[in-house]
Amino acid sequence: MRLPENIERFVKNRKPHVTAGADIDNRVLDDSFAAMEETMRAKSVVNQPSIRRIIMKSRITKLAALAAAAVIIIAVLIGVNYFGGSVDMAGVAWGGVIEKIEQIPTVVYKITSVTSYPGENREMSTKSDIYDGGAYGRRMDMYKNGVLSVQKFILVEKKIAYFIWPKKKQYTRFALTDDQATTKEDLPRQYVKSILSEDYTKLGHGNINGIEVEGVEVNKSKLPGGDKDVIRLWVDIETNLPIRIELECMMMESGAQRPTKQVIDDFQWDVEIDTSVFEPNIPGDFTQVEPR
Amino acid sequence: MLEDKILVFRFNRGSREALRRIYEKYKDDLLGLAVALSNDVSLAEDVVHDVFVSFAQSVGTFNLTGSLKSYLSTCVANRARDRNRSMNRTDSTLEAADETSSDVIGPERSAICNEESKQLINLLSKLPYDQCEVIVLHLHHGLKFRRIAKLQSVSINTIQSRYRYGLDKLRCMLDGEVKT
Repeated sequence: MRLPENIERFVKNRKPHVTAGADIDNRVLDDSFAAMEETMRAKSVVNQPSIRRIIMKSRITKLAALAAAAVIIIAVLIGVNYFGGSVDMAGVAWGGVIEKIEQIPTVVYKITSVTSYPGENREMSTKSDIYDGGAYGRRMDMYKNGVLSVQKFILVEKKIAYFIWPKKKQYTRFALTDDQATTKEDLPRQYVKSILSEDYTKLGHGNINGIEVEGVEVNKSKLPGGDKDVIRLWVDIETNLPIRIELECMMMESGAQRPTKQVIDDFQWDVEIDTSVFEPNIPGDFTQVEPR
Repeated sequence: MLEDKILVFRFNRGSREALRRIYEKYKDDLLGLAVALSNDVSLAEDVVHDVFVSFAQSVGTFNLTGSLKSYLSTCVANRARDRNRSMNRTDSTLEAADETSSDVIGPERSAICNEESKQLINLLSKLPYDQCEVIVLHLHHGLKFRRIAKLQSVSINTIQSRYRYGLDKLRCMLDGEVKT
């Protein structure tokens, strides 16, 4: 054997290429899926979620109330017209949508989620109002059957969080770690990035609440990790800002993957939010409980 | 990178398919790393298994701040070091390497694809573990010395020394092989 002149190149060129066998594939995937589901199951029984679960909780609903038709009714009520509009309309500059929403510090929006329980003839539904004040903080009010169920205040600047349960007259207050404070669960922007970074299908023009929109759709089976999900994004032709996001997917709930439909709409991009919105204003007769 | 972010995003939402894609995307590379560090295919499989099970347990809370590949490589290196501490590496001879990575095993077992790699793995196994780790992580997996220093809890200067000494020893071993 010749002594290599460049030992680094010698080592680099001999990087081991290992082909994983079927045994290890099966063992890793089986055990990993089991571990993942066990973790999800354990989290689903925790009543008071951690900061990281705020958005998860807004997606994964906890109510047995509205019927499956709720999502359809919502769609009809807001008047989405998939076939409306003229072919002469100006189009959305899709390349600029992400850049635009990244530059906007504040946004207010609503999330409606309906999770079906196949075989149990029931559904769970929630509606949430989200106030995203950028670096100042975030607030979420979640309603179950129209009744305020929980309020979450993530005061990033102050590094403090409050969760309030009006029905129980309880609240918890805890300090945010640096990681929690800087980790922002930002569902609309994440979805928009997911959709527009992939090979989406144009849905054409439409009208939502009198606003001319153009839509795109991604079949998530085309995305990495796709689970036959469908995401649709409707963007205002004039402002180039998202108006409505629709998601149909399987989500983890009570230890199992369940069909979930989610609508994110009523966006108010770049809206001025009074800092008083982020004040918990906890009534004096509420009891403080330890965070779990 | 963006694909990894989407995969992690979907993994955090409980997508099995995302976890499967992450595994399939990086499994061979991570197995290669584990084999290079342990000189044992079975042990390497255990290391990768443990890393992915642990990763799966982070569902819902996993926060990707850098490269997913670097993160998983670091996890494999950490796990391999833990495993190596409890193993006797003195019998990791060329014969042992040939035995563990034999081509006669079936497709159900993992296999190293070429003889030159086996030769290198055998040589690396004769280095002090810390030196072997620096060389493999830096030259095969592109980790910067700063990151490896953090991994080994030593200064960058120490890492650079370990890298240099390790390469010198490899050169000496190769020189010995050439002379014989």
